[in-house]
Amino acid sequence: MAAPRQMEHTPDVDVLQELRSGRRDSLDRLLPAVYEQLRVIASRQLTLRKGGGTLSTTGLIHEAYLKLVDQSRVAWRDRSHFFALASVAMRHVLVDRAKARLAQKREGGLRRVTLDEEQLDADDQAELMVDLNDAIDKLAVTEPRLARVVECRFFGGLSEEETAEVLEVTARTVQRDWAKARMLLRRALSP
Amino acid sequence: MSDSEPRQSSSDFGSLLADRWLQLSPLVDAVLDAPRDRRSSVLTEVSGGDAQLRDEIERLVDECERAVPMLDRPAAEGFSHLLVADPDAAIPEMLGGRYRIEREVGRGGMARVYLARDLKHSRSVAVKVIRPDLARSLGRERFLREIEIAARLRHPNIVPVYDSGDTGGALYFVMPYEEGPSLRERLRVGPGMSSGSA
Repeated sequence: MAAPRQMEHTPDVDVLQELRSGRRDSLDRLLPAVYEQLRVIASRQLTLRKGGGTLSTTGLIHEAYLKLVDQSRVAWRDRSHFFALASVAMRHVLVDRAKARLAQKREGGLRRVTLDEEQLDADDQAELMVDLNDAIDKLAVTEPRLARVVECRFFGGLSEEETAEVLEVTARTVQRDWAKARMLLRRALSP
Repeated sequence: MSDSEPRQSSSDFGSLLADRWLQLSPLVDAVLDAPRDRRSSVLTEVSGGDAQLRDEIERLVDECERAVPMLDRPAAEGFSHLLVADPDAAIPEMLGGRYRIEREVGRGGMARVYLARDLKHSRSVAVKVIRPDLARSLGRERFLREIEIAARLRHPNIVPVYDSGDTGGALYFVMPYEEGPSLRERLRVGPGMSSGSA
């Protein structure tokens, strides 16, 4: 059992120790640290890549992981916990940014943005992200595991195998869940 | 619960009701799991000869397998605009009605440096613009104070400050522009934000 410690703004948080304890409240306490790391790393990468190139989510999460965890003590089991946590953190980062942007920008969308678009401008991305977030919350009511798969695959950028490890199901189940979740979300967001 | 009265609960998926989906889900699984060449017979099998049900399941399976562009890439890619710190509030072409920005000549963690034309005195100057998000989070007063201190200093190793200002929330200050390798070095030890030099 980890000794109680103040971790809110401690950069060298013993993330692994906390994750091993597996307690829900420790995950909640870790989230801000992961969130902050992802936000900082993502902003920096985007500044560097201005004018081309895409962002690799897996790259982001691995970098956050290296920053937060002493690599030498890491076992696979812990890594998958971290990935799960980072996926949730990434969801928070994107939704928070989207809400902030919408609050600042226009009063309401003129058209409904759907998941079938190929490219979206910043305002449309914000709008779609907020709608999508609500739809995932609703999906979680009916199909909780599908919503978790969306977090890992979509927000965390995890592979089918990594997602399977996190959720303790087979890769085949992840594949099926992901297909169904995409279909259900697309329906939920269709006009 | 009445089947004849369709209701729209908060967890439905468009026209597909949540309860209905939970009934169909295992049937969709069975079809998704079947090898391609067996799909048709599995569809017939799970729908128990009900043609309408067969159509419904088939449509759902098709939708499971079609591309969904905004979900098929990780969120950080498809929604990358949301991660940009501060869309780098494009620098206006003209600052303070006097300095015409020509090009960026350098950037650091805190600021960008531009070559500009000082129209009043017909000379080239370097304009250093503090990143707006930094100015906001670290406090404008701190930067303004440092600029003020730097502007009073006279020392051969310190680049003098000609002028300073504020453009749409971005603070800037103006320094002599010098060609050659010493510029970077002099900017570095100049009226940067190092408290040591202040």
